[in-house]
Amino acid sequence: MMSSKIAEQSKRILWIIFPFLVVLLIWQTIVELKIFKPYLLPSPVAVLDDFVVKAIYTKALLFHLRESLIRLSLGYAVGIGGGLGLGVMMGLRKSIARFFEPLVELAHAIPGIAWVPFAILWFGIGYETVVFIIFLSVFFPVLYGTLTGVKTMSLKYSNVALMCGARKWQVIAYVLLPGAMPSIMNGIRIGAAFGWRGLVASEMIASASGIGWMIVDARSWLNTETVILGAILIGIFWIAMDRLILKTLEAKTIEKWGMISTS
Amino acid sequence: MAKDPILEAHSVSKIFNPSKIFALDGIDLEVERYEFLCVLGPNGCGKTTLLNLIAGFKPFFPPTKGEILINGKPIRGPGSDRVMVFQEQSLFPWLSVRNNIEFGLRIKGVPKDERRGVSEYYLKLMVLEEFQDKYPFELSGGMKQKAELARALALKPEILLLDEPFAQVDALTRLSLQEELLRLSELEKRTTIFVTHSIQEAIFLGDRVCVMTKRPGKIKENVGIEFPKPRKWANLANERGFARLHSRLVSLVQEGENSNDVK
Repeated sequence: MMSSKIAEQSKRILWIIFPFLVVLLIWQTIVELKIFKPYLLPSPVAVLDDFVVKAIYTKALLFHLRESLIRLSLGYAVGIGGGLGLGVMMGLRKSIARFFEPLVELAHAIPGIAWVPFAILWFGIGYETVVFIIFLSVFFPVLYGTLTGVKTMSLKYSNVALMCGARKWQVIAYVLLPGAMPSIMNGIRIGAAFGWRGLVASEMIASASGIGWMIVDARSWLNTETVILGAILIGIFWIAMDRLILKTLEAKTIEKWGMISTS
Repeated sequence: MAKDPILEAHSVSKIFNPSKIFALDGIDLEVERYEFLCVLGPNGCGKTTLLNLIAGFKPFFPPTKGEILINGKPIRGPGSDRVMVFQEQSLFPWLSVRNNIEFGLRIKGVPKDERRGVSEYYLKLMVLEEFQDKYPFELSGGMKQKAELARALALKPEILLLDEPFAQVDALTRLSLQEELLRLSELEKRTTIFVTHSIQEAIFLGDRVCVMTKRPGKIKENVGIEFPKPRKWANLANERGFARLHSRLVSLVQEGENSNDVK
């Protein structure tokens, strides 16, 4: 029994690795055939080499990653906090909601990255602009999710709290927020993905450090292996973040409650 | 005239805005302390509206006309002296059965040990110990209803308001839940108002059955039920008076249904 399980598992892993091996093999073959100049298509080995150098010797990679992650955390924190706060307020007061809803609907439809030129005018090149773009990318989906969650939640739950003698803040903390959680989680996941894209894009345009800038900078020096390395790392980091943080959060809350949202 | 009324409704009327639905028309009702009152009527007779008014829930509360007194004082809104069990499932999906039962106590700031004691007691009383760590979506309809009842009882309300609490469970589970409810109301002295459209249920549970007519809801007649308690379905169904009472209530309900068709 046990061994068949292990066999199953290793087969699964093999099927994840195998397609990558095929791609690497084709890539290496094309490089060997010398169809393209090396600065257009460096070999996989060169990319790996670049990774080792930047990760272990110069530590440039660690520096850029740290820069990006700090910006990301700041943008996420402010965006999620703000979206939740305003979302609850709007959900509680129909008049406020009615006023803001059309505005949020439009703002929600604008990609955060569209605000980069505007942000550069205001904040210049650097931290503030990137954080601002991440904030915008996260804020609106979270706000939208919270608002939807609070609005669509059945009145009966807050009635139960009220008949227990709950005060307003208790209704918010113990009923509205957990009840709206499926929709809020939805907003956070969408926002996080938008924020991640916003980070990379705005670093490319409006920054002098970070993983996005590393790629753009490498391109101007024709360090194509760094360009490819950066792109691959961006993908790996997002998968790690989504699986380790967001999925876990979801499993700990709404999945456990049987409240997986259908939206 | 009740000697020691816990609840008095004086010519209570309710017209909903903006729909202009005329739900209740001049309800006069007195409920004796520790009485088990069943409110019987067809769908749309305003019995749920009456219950929600007593509970103090918006948009039912306040009444358009008249007033409702509890222990001689007019009610102002929801309060833990009047606890309701709803027709549809209203357990918090994000809390385990135990935490659902403890919810009201947590709101009231009851210390953890004490909360444990209370939930322990009601879990045992309802034979729910096995399910204490389960979430509502993992329970059957009957179990949910029991947990719902436990949550209401844990608040130690003066008046228990039940809005067709067994309407969603299958007929057999229903019989045992009805017996359970009677057993509990003998165990802990409490005033109960039970809304139902089932004549058998009303006879089985009530000390008195209050028959309501169709919209706008009025009280047609009060019928006392003299069968001694505790009652069991196995015995009661054979009682000679049961059939007579049943047919009397049937004709009262039918008269009530037709009374408003004249205009």
